[in-house]
Amino acid sequence: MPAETLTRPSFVGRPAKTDDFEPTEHSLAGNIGVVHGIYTHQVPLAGMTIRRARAELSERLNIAPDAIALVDGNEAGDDFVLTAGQVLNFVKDAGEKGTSPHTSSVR
Amino acid sequence: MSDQLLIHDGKVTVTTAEGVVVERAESDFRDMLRREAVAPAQGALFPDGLKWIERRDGLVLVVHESPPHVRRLRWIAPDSPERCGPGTTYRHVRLSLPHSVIFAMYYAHGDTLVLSDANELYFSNRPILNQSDRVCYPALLNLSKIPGHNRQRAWICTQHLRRRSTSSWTTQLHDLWEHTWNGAFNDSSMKHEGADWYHESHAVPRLHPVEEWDRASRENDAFALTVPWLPVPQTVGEIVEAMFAEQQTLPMPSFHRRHAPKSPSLIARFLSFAQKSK
Repeated sequence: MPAETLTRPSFVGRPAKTDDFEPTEHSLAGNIGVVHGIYTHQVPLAGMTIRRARAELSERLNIAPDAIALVDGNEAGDDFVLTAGQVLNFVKDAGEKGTSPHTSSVR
Repeated sequence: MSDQLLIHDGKVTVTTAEGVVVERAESDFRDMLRREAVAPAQGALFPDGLKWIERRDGLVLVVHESPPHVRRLRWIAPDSPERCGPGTTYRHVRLSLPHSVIFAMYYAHGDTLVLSDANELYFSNRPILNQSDRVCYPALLNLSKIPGHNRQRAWICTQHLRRRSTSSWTTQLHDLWEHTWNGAFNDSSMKHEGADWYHESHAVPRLHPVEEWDRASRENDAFALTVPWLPVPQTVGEIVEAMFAEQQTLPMPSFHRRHAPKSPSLIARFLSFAQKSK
């Protein structure tokens, strides 16, 4: 009987290295939870900047260009580097409830 | 003589009161019933978090669950000069949230679904896995406390949700979700319906004022999963049953009256189906 060869999958769940990929000791690989409306994904974005993550996700999740990036509920700039286990939202204010939209202010 | 439908020897024969006779294979009849039992998906596949989809008499109910996470919300400022509407001022709060479960009711119109105004949202500290699971009332502004059939509903105010009835049902659900979480939270429900589930949850620890909830969330992102939210007496299955029953009997806003289906008889539906498929 021929010997059976087992191989390990080569995909390590890590994004390709790019200029915006900034690995750190603690964030080199891993998934980020992306909650975008009714869609929730685990995506291997750890180590990427917000700028790169936005580019990766904008088309497939139809993210508005002016949506604000929030990481674990905190606003994050384009150069923020994502760490495994964090939750990323892209948020665009949707007016307010029970009244006409665009009639009030946020301080 | 009234309309008659006879199933015999692999054939379905409809004889109308006017004497019209239509005969089709029994498989055609089964095909019609199968299509009626499945919600028209308009090509859209189920989104992540879809827990249940049920169709009855021109109504389709979708139950969708979002995972726990920390979210930034716009919340009415303590010194806002208005409770809602023009002049209302807001500030951001960062709140730990548990599993949130939306019950969205649609009207089926042929091959399309139109989101109704009868949508509800609940919290849960665990993912819902069975129809017998129970959920909790969401301690949020704008989730109105509305009486239903022997129950209290957590109704999502959608007065100003921009509806796109030509959109797929998933896009309409997404719009409802975005409106719920990214629309600013104010005292509209207190002003118009008299009660919301944030104020009703005043005895739940560390939620009031909302700054305390924000503080607890900074101490522990998973704070929400430790909160003893007010329990809903009904199970998930009982909420679904109640929502269908209330569609038949509760007073309907004008939007519902424009879109509510008329429920033609089985024979009328089969005649229509046979006409389209001949």
